[in-house]
Amino acid sequence: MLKKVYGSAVFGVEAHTITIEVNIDKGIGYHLVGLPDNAIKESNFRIAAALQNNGYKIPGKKLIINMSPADMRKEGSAYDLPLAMGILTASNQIKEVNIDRYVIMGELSLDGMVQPIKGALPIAIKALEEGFEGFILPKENAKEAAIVSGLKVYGVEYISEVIDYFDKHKALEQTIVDTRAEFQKNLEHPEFDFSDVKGQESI
Amino acid sequence: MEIAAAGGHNIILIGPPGAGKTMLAKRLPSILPPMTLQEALETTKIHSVVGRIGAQKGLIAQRPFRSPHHTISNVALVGGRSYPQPGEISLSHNGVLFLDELPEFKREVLEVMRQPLEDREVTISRAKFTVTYPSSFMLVASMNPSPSGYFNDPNAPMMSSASEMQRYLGKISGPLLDRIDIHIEVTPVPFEKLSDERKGESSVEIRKRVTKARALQTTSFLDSENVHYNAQMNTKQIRKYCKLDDTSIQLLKTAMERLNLSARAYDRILKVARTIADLEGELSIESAHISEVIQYQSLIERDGLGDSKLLNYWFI
Repeated sequence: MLKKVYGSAVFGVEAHTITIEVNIDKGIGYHLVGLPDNAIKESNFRIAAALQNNGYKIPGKKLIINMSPADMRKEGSAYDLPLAMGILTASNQIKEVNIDRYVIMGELSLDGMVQPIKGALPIAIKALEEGFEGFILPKENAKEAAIVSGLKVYGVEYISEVIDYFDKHKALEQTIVDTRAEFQKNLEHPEFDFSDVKGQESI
Repeated sequence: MEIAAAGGHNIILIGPPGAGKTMLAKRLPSILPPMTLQEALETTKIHSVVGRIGAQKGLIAQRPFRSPHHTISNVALVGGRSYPQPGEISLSHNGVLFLDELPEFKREVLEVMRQPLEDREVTISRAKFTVTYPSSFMLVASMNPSPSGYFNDPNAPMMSSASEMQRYLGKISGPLLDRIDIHIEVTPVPFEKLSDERKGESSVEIRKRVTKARALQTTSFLDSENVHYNAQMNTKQIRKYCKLDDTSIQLLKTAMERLNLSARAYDRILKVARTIADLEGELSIESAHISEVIQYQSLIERDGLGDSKLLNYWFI
């Protein structure tokens, strides 16, 4: 069965949406294609352990995973979570109807904990531009992504939360930041002050 | 410092150890005008790409202040690597890049900064792709006038020889110095002033004036894209916004002849003079402004052969 999940790659300060296609067929094997770097190639071990420790598994069938556009280099460990979700949905271990309306990013620990990623803000901006409904990402990055208004940003701590969200419709906590209020609040009280400098008034 | 902040000018502080160069530089962000939401977003984006935003902070609304150590490599400064990452100059986008002890930096490292200083962005090309990072930063540098740290000071614990000094100053290239609008000398603080209980002017007060001057600039550059403050003006805009009266022209002419200043220095003087006029709320540049700027010019000026020499008045 073929399923599509969406992730994102950051180039410069712009993000590009990456489609992760997972196809499961008769046979055995795990093939990850679409110019992944070593960190992504290693992801199957992290995913296998994280799924096992949460009561799921990588199916013993032939898995072909394609990250498209296939000519663009992808780097980093932030594709663990979308890959894992792609495998779970393609193998029918969880039921979902609308996973393709979300951008999902995150690195997995072996126990299923979701680790922070880089470039959350550019990804969120791109996701909004391309009309995605929501962005599921590690909790640590939720605040910076939530600056983008108009996109539902969900910060998660464990993969089990994401699984429950799609499988059992258990609500995720949406991160909401009032950008303007945040901006005003951070506008500061500088830690250094010119009044501490003596005898350099001329400068 | 106030002038540099108001016009976004690059600045170099020259003085003996312990005079307060670092202290002054560290306080510069506190008098810069507050960031606009647009600027905050740009800066946050870059910091997001390198994953440097903590879980507590959503938006970076304070101007960044980056002060890399002088052993920095050129890739770490401008960005790069096989998977390009922004460097220090991009991380200080819309903020301050402080290079303490400028001559200690590798010459090559300082030279790669020249083009981003001008273009306010840096483009990194690799065989398969090209990425551009914005890098509109304000350069603040500090240095000692000689390897021993002192210059022309009878009480100095040690003095460097003329050739030692020349080698030291020669590490900074003329073109780089030429891009620094304001050169100022920081003199040591006498004991009476140090022990003085009276507090100096607070950053909040200074910032009010700076913000006002910046607002003037923003309105005059309203119709030109990419130019928001005086330091970014191009030659055409300098001709338009920095008109001089006869006395000022005469004064500038004498100064240029006496100090042997370059054509770029001429533009530089006009830009800084414009900022001073903005700070004082004047519409036109007065001769007093010009003479103030000339003080901030070229503590180190170069002769045609690229040799550095300390300006005449240091020898007087």
